[in-house]
Amino acid sequence: MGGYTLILDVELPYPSIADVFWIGGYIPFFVGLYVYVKLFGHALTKKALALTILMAAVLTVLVSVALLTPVLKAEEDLTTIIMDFAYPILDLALLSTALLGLIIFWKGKLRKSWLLINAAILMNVCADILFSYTTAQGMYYCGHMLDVLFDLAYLFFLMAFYVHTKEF
Amino acid sequence: MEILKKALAEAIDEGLLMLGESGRDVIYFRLKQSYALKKEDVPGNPEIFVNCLREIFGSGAEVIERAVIKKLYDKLGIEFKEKKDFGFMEYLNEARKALEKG
Repeated sequence: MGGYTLILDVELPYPSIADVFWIGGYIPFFVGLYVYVKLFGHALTKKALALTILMAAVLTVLVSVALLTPVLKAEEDLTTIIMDFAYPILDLALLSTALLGLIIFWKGKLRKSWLLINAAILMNVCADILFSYTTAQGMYYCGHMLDVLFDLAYLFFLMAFYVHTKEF
Repeated sequence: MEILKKALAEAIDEGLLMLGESGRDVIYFRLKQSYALKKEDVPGNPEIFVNCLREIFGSGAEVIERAVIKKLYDKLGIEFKEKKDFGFMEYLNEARKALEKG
């Protein structure tokens, strides 16, 4: 992103080559969370698992419905439409996995770290929903106020990893 | 009950490997730092070991405890059967009784 605005001095295209890396980044992120949570998966009750899956499904439907009208009204190309939905939905997949981690470690010292991970992903969920919405409305620009949410997410991730190494 | 202590020491060492070698080292470090318990004294103080795990992992500790107990039963040649409301200490007591019976 910085390459477009600071080096090439052009308006940030969307989608761009950067989106390949953003989307690709979800794979190791999801695998990392999944492997960690699966290791302790037997500590989860069926009720907690079912509620988390239900919550993820409901949120995915709500977010998709909320974005449907503005995205389709914007008459964007198919790749852009896919990206508009992909970011928030992939964030929700991460959030539901991280939520399982929080449930498992809630009574332990690792709770703090998992709370921060969840807070960080939640920031990304909000930021990506707003990003998709403002992009569809033609209101987004590099440095928009909503970018603060992405920065906050990074900050929470940093704090989560620090707390994790401190507690474990 | 030296057999039980020796088997438990090995089972804890192997069971904790599910966290990786560095994870296992962290648990031993925590036991020493927070509970003044050296690695070789852990089998004689299983309650402290369980408390330490629960303090760090919360409900997730059950998974590590189960891995350790399964290793222990395997080493003692006892068949492991899942029992409702059985925790680490209950399984350990059952193993002790089984050894006493011979």
